[in-house]
Amino acid sequence: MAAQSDHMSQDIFPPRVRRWLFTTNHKEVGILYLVTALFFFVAAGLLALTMRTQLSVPDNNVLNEGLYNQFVTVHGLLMIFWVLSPFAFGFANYIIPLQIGARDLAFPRLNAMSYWFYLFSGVAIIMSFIFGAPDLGWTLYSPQTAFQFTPTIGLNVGAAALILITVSITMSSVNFLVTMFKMRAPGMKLRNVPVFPWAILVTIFMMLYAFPSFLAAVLLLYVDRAFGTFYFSSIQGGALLWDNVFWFFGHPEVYIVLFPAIGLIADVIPTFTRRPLYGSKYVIGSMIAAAVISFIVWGHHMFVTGIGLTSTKLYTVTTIAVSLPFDVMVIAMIETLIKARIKLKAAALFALGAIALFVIGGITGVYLASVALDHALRGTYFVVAHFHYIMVGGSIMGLIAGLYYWFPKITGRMYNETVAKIHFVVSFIGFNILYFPMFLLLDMPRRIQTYAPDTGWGPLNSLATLGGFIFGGAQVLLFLNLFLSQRRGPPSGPNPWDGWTLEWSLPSPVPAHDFDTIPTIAEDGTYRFGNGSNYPNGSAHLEHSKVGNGLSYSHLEGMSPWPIVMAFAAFLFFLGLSIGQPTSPNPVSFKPFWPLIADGAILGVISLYGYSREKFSVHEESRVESWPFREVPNVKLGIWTFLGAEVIFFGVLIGAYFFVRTNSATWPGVGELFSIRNGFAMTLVLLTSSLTAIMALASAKIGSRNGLIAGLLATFGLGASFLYIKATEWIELGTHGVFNVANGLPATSYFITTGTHGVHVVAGMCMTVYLLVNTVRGRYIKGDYHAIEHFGLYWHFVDIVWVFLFPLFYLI
Amino acid sequence: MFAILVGGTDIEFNLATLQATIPYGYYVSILLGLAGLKAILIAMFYQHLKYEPRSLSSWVIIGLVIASLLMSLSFIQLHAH
Amino acid sequence: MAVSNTQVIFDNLYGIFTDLAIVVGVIVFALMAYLIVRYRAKKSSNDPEDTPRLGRLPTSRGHGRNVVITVTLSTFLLAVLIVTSFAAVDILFPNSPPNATWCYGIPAYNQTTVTGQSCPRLDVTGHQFYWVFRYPNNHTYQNFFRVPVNTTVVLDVTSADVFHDFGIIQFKIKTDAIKGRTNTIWFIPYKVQNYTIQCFELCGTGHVGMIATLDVMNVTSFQQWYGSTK
Repeated sequence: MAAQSDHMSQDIFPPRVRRWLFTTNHKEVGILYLVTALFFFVAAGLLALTMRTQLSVPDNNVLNEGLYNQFVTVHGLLMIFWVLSPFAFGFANYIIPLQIGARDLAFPRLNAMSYWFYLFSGVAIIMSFIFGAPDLGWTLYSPQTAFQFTPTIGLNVGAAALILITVSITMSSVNFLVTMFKMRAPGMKLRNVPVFPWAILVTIFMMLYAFPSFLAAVLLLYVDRAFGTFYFSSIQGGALLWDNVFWFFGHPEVYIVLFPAIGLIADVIPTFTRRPLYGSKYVIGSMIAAAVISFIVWGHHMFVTGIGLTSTKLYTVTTIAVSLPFDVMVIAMIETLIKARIKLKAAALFALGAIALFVIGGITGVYLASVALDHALRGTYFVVAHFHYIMVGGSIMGLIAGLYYWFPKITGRMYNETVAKIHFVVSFIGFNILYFPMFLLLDMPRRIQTYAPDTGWGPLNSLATLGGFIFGGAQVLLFLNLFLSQRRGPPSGPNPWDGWTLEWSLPSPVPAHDFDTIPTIAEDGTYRFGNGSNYPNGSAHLEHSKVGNGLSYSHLEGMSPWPIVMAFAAFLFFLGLSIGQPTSPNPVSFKPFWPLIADGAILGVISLYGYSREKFSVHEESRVESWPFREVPNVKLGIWTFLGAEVIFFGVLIGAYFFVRTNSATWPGVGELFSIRNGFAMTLVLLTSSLTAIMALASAKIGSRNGLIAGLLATFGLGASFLYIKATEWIELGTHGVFNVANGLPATSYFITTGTHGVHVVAGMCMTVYLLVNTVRGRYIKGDYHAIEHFGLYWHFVDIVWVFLFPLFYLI
Repeated sequence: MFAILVGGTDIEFNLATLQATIPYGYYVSILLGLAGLKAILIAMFYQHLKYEPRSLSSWVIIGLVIASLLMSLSFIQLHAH
Repeated sequence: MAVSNTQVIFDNLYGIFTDLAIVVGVIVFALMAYLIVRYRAKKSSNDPEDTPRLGRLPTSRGHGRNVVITVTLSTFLLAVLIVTSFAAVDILFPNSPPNATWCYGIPAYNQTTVTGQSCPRLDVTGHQFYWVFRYPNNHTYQNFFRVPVNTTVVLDVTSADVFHDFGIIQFKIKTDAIKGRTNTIWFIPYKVQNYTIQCFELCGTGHVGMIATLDVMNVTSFQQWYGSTK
């Protein structure tokens, strides 16, 4: 990691360790992501090689069944969450601002925080091995994940890790979205943006709307295990509730890990064929179409659960339909080869190889879309082969292409081309020897630690293991090549591939401030670039003109300790929630481990305070291209985007309630359990609090300090009243009515759904306190009322959620 | 605006007390419809969507359309067995 | 060599898919290989005319016509696959569940009347980590069951604890075993032999040992055995 830093020696930087811990510069965060992702890649790969060794012959005992199940689970979790996406986002962080002509992301500290959340979540998942790692497959099916069947802490720690990485991803999503819409260089219209940033944009949308579902699922699993609720341990919820909620996230997720690589390939191939991408707008359109359709295919993971032919046939149609956009993408890339001048450098080899392997993976996906075929193939190695062809053959190979493609840009040095080509050949052959036999093993179940000799599966498994070692061994060439070249490879110059996307116009490695002057793109698509002094009038100039003296750019390569501190606080908090022992004397759930939780909470509050008080400003270019959100300020756009994710989150929680209620033969009638009067009162209170929030905003806008204070105080007070009524209601239900979570699903769904809403109310009230303190200090009344507005957006949303919860729980 | 919201809530409350006299399906639909209406009003006026640039409101609307699509799919699965 | 009707259905459908897959795959790979070889950069050649350069954004290229052709052709092909899949699945899961009679010697499932025998079905329950089979006469067996050859057999599968999956490997049929739900599958075995059943959903440590045997017997032997268990 430290080895990468000598390329920055031109600019003056503080001591290296502090720099890497506190950086918010998109390039450094990108490098952190890349290196960490590669580390997890090796770790997960070693897990896989151990599994392959165990499976190489029948009746083997290198790994006992318990360990094998842990290995297969963590291998899947690591690769999907801690390798594939972070690897892609390492590139996205480094390259995308350069490609769109921005100096950094919209929210640099948030960006750094995303990385640290990612890192600590990775620490958590590795730590889970201490307690017995999760061992039910990365898909964590219910009800085997319930406390009753898995009373071990390791799964809780795994859940904590997953929550942390979801938070990381949500922050990244908001960040990249605002950046790509609001920080492009003048003249860089959306249609001019290269395919890789587009792919990332599409990926971000999928992340934003899929991960909240996952968060809800993991949250519900956690409360089941920690508080004894019944979402996944009951028959009414159970296997199918998890199946639906998980795969609603899970299917877009596998596209999330694929799309960046496809975008990368779509940009790499033209560079090495010396012609523009064929049909680039159709490629982008197809990506959008595939992303949208990806949300309505999840049922194909449930073909044999018995949901009925109406549903399964519908999912067959949608799943087969989603292959059409991919057809278009592949054809476009192949057409780019026509009448081209193809230079088969390592990046091109990997890109083309990735396409070929992706085609095989895609075709076999169509097999699995057929319900009849799925009844034989479900849970077999055919499925394993299919998704490895896509995820390793398509995604990893594509990302490695990116590694060779951008290595010169990031390090300023050229890798050894011959070794890279050998790496490709050995990898490609090894890959096919490893995974193709698995198609032929379509009778063999997945996730089994061993198999009997009389099944006849031995020879193909041995062959696959051989392929595994060849493929794994080949990666040593990759690491050696890159590591050694980075130290002593020849300088690469700014544009070794003669590329034409904006990053190639900058020196290699890219200096701290990226562009001396952000280029302006004229109507005919031309622009000036380079560190020259001839610029046409009207291009955006940087305030400081001192190049090479890093000190002037404090706001660009700004350092902040709060991202890592905040991430560590969250890590402690969630770890504390997950390592408590089972309750005794009758274990039904886990106790939280309060010391860690308290530490984490205190540190979190401190870091929130420090974060908000820090003088960290982002230089916003005066002229940017920002259609279609020209008139919408950055933070407001960010907040609305975040609210969209919240809609999905609450949607899934409410959906879970509908699910268990529909499946329940009996349910308390209207008014039997909850006092409708209470609900009515709470609704009125909350509606009034929205009114007072509006009045607060109005006061801020006209500069009335007292009005603002009054409004904020009233909102706080009403929020407190809401919580008070709720608290009394809960206490009454708990003691008099003996209505607690042990009573089954009505209680479970009521407490958890309204409870989550309550947490959001508390958060809102904390915001009110913060705003009040600042108002007393004189802020918000001199035209800077935006924080009040943003709080309002959040608060009204919380109100909207209650507007639905009131009838759903009290009135029906 | 506030009055409309409070009024709507009052209707819901009264509906609930009359719940036994209305067919259940209609009852739920009316309640959810009222809730939806209130939500839209809050979004448009309190969250200011009516006055925001078209880009932002279309953003929100597209998202809601897709969300409804998903809900329909889930409904089919739950009820068409 | 056919071992069951479900296996025949699968093999036929799988065959159609594979034939089409090979055709598509060969075309795509041959095309790619040809283009890569044909248009390889030679030292003597120059960059094509429309090579983009730094300083100017690339022009867009390509006809919508090609996209339309691709999508249309693919749609035809995929429609074929959808239709054949639907046909297969309609056989496997008919609207009214097959009447489980011991229809000795009658190979088609939809003959319901037989020599006056009543027709209950077999219950299969998955446990951690074994299978229990219950016959109409309420006898239960662990990890094996027997049926007569050329007879419709109907299984109602559920679970007593966690999420399992009941798969008869060579018959190419399986279904999830979920507590609180019953999923029904049926088959007609064609060959007297033993067949292996495994659990296809990771259900805990012990999953790997969740193996059962299906013993398909000839009709007389089965009648003798079943009669003797009364």
